[in-house]
Amino acid sequence: MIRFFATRLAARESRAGFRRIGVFMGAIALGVGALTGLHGFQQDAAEGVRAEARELLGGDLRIQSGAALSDSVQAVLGDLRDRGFQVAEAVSLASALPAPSGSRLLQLNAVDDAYPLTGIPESVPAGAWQRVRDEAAVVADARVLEQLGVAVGDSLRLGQLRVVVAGSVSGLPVDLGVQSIVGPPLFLSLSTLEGSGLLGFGSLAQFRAFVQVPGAVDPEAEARSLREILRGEGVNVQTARAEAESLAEGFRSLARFLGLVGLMALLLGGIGVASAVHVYVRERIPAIAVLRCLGARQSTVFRAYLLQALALGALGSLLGVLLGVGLQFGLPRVLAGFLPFDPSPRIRPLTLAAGLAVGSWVALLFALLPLLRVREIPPLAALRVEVEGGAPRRILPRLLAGAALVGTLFLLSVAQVGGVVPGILFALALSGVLGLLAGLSRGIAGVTRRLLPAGAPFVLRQGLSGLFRPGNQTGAVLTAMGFGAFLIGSLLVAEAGLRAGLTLDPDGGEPSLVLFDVQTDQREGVEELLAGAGAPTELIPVVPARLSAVQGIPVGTLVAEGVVPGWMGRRVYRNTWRADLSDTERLVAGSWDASGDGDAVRAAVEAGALRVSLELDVAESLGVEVGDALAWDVQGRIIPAVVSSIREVNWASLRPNFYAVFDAGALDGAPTTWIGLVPRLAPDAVGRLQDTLRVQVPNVSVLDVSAVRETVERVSGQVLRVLRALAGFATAGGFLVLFAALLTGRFRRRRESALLKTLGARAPTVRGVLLVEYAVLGGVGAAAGLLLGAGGGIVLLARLFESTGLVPWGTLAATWMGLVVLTVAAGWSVSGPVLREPPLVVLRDEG
Amino acid sequence: MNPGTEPGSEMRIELEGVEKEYRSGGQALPVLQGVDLVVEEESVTSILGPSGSGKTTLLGIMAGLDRPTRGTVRIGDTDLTALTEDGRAGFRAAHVGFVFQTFHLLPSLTALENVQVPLELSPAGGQLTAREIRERARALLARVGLEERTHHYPSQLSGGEQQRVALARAFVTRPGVLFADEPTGNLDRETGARIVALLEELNRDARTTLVLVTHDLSLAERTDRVLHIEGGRIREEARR
Repeated sequence: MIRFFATRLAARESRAGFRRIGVFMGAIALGVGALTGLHGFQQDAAEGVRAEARELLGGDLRIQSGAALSDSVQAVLGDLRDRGFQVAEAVSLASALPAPSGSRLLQLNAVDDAYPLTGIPESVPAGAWQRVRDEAAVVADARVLEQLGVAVGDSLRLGQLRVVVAGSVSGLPVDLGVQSIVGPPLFLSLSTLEGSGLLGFGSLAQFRAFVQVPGAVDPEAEARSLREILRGEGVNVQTARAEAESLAEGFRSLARFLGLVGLMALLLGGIGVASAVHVYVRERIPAIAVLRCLGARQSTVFRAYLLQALALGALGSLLGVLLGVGLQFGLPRVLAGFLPFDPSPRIRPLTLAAGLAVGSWVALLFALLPLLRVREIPPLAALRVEVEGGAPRRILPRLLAGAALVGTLFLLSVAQVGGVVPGILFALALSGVLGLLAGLSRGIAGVTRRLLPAGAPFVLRQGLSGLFRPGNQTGAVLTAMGFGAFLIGSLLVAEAGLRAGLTLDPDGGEPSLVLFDVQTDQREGVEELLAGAGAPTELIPVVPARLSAVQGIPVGTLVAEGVVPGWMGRRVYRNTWRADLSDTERLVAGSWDASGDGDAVRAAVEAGALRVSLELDVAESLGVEVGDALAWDVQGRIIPAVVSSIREVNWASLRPNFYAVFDAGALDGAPTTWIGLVPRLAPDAVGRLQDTLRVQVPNVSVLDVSAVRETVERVSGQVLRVLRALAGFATAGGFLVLFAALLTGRFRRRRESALLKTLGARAPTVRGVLLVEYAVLGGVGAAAGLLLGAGGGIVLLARLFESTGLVPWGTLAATWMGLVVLTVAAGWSVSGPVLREPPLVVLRDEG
Repeated sequence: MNPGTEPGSEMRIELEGVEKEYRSGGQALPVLQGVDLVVEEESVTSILGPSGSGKTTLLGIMAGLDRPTRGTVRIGDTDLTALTEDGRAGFRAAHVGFVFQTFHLLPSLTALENVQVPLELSPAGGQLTAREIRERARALLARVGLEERTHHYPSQLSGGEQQRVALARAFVTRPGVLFADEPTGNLDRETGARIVALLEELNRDARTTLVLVTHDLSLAERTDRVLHIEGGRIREEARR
């Protein structure tokens, strides 16, 4: 019988304190839920990207260029066709389309007859897709047609053409088929696009060729060979795998951030477990002492409670895994439309088992520290209550348990962060936060003890004394509340930082419309038209050019040697000239005006070079400084230039920014297109102006910034919804942990409140004492946690998203107030029933 | 000879030169001083004394709940002071029963389960099946008049009923020695008298060596021997 006594005792004892057990399981369940759910979502997304890579790209390879594919590229494509490869071509450009619902910015995708190479387009009515190939017709996703307010058979004006809406289509590859940042896609044929006149010189069109390789050919090897053949053609050759990786990379930062949030939630759960077990052990002291009197060995009793913790940890983790599955399946719904792929959530037994194991292990470790006390409760405590407090604490088991806990934290951090050094740094940072909170609780207790004025009102004095009296809960509540607030603070700052990075400044002086591709001979007419519409606008020149040489060395050589990134050597730069720095730029080196030039620049200018100001990142990538020589290829003419200054540019603004800016008039005579930034206008005036522009200068692309703003805000809104959902998760976890921590002080309160009432204190006085203590604990803990969290959020943003943190002081203040109220409310729910008990009952119970 | 104890082991308690000090603020605080005492097997001994005189400490040390600072404590052939913490726990499981002033029933266990616990912990219980343990506990509860309350939790029982469960728990292993700390201290006079009668009856049947700490003079007068403790020293009052 004695062999199973510990097991039986564990089972019997679990009847006691359902509330503690609930808190224990709830805390670990929330932590494990966050960890496994977010981890599962990461895996789904990574798998989704890999599985759908080909469908995403629309083929095995994609050749892309900002300019029309040259004859030599076409020759290579012809050669591929001859070798049995399937090739399809497409041209995409942004264009505003007049529709009954108003002017809408769309992405026009003009495709040839071979498109698409993957997927089967399904059109309604049947044959609509074929009509696009045969006549001046367009198709789009049914939702897009609905948004445009057009029906099948309606006609639309597309530049100089009228096109008919042939129907709706679905099942096209993601690369062109999903809404881009510009707008929803509309499909037409290449010949229709040519007929519309929208494809003018210097347009912002993207030219693509999709290639499907025969089964025996390795797409990666083919891509390498094509890159070699097409070197110098200004095209980018991408494989489906590389595209998937690049998409996954963009997603990885978010995934890593979510992973860290999951880990922090698990630790928060662990703290909740420790608090719950601490209270539980405290409650069980008399029972444990009696068992010891009756002959139960230390190890038997300890084993019983350890078994109980193990079982509860495993049960809580199981609950957490189920919660995690819900989160894993729910997140893609929240992010619907944002992800360029379908994460297709699926259950992975191994991930769930890992979650179960990690959760049980973490719960056990956090439970172990308070459980060690069980071994030290002497049987004499059954006769004398005061004996318990004086029992010696053994150091070695505590050191071992602490070491296991720290080791686990480091291992989990390394696993979640994905690197040893950053993982260790993250674990150290978390340990630092916990250490700071523990230090703060000691500091608060010490300072209150010293500074509490003896003449303070009774309620205030009693309430504040609770912070340092023996058996106080300052440490437990401050650590629990502080860490919960830390997690919430990190999320709020991350949310605010990402929001600032993703959304546009409403008062940033952004234009209503941006006009692209205004030709030089249209310039005067457009300026007059804009002035007539009450929107006088000075057009900005754009001169497309390629970089030819840096410091006299051909760019091709620098790219081949790996000195300069390939894309910098191949791309077409859209350069400009102007007299002044814009307000989105800041000079970091050199002089904007020629009068401030140094000798090197002056000498180069005298030798015939043009002064050019480079954007900081480009200058760094090219490895050039002020005074260095560049050569630009403008439509075949080589123009020598000297770097006269280097600028830092705020790319987040919606104004056109440029990598290279020449002196005013320096490029006069070079082939130029013009951009117009039409200032803020009333929405109806914007609509009228768009209509006029469409009729009078149909080749000009008009970008409605409000439409872009809407799209950006929609996408960022989805990311922010995820962060908000996580903040909600963190708050729920934090509340449970706080609840557990507050329970630790319940006994002292119960007796104190009974004594106060016995001595004549009225209920409001007793309530006031509790209110003061809870409010101070909540206020200090929340403030410390939120501020530390704000710091943590800023570091996370900088490291993971390369984004500048933004502290949302207003939100933090509101959250702080909310947390204080929550602390008082939680304290109330814990102590309220105790306060209603007649004092005699309490005093009799407590002996 | 008590049936629950091992054959040949006398349940005589011997204390020799027992002293107990507690440390308080770095200073030694003597609680028991030079206690030499022999409690004969199957005798009933009461310890009387004012609060703080050291009677609970003496009881705790006699029962092996704590170690003396100096001196030895033997029960039968066993030197409790030479045993480890777990060794003393094992000894208690086999030979010692307890009755407390505040009953100390395990709140999450039913009356029946509370009575079963000592049997489940004792070596004697190791020879019994779960059913036998249950039946023995049930029989003892019936003996103290609680056969109708076996599945009630302590919070559902009155003070007198709780102490009766405690008595059943104390005697279920047929211990050689029973220590009772103020067994009637939390009960009214009438209930206390009934508990004392029950304790005497059970003790008589089990022939247990009984040591009880009490303030109740009338209870002390009914015991074989009354020890008075004051300032940590024992003074024998009377022997019947």
